[in-house]
Amino acid sequence: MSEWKKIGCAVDFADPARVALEEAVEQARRTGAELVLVHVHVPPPTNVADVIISPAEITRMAVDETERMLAGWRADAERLLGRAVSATVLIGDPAGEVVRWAHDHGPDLLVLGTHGRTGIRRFILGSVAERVLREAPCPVLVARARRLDEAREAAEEAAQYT
Amino acid sequence: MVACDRICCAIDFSEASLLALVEAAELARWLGAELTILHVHAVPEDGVGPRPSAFAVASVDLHRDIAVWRAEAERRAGAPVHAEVVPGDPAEEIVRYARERRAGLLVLGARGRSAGGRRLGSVAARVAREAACPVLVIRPRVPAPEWTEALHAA
Repeated sequence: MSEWKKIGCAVDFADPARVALEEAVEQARRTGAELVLVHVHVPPPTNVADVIISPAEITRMAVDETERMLAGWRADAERLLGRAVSATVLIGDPAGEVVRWAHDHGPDLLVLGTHGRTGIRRFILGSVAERVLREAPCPVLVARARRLDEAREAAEEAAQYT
Repeated sequence: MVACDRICCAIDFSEASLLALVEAAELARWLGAELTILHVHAVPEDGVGPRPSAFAVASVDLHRDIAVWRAEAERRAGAPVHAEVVPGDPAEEIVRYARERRAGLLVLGARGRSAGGRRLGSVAARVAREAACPVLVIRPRVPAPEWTEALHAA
């Protein structure tokens, strides 16, 4: 028996993370595990010469924006799963923070998206995903859109132009 | 997985492989998906490795071994499981097999028998990078630190 009690899903609000979210919801449904969305906020480099508001103000605005985005993703996850999902924001280096979260909170599975979005990059694992895969203390599901689906979508799209 | 009807579990008969097999069988049962277990018998590309005849000899043993694993998978999946033994470069053959069979998910252990002390073996790393489908990399979970009195005191 799978005894997965907690599943962490790394979300960076990019398209591949959407695929990861769907896979994580499916795994949470299968195992009855608690689902936690983990977002790592990377503080933007601040250049005082470029701004008329303080770096602290920018950071606060960025965090507000992050919280708002994450709330949206969490609502989507709860709608898909049909029960409560939690979410957490960490600040720092994405791969390092996700791995650290996994060490501290002991998820039974981490779900992440690949980095690539188009063309050949679709098959390349981003550096964050690769590092998490290497360093995580638990199983990792590298989610990616299946080529079959994409081939079908491409065919459907092509059919519209004939 | 989301709409996945074929699962491929790559094994090298290591302990991590067994964890992968258990997870793959459970997923197959949950999804009603077809499960194949695949073992790639490593053959070095430089040609100094086992010749085809040598593989034929090894494959008798390998087929006997994989039959035991298949029986375990079938018991857990509650359905027939397909088993394959192929010669070649493990990562390359796993990716190719999954692609050709249109697997919707690949499951494998994080490190095989040849990974030494590394957390992630080269085969799992390459498969995760190059596969056309999602890849579930299984490893024994390191438990989260318990909140002990010692930590509380620190």
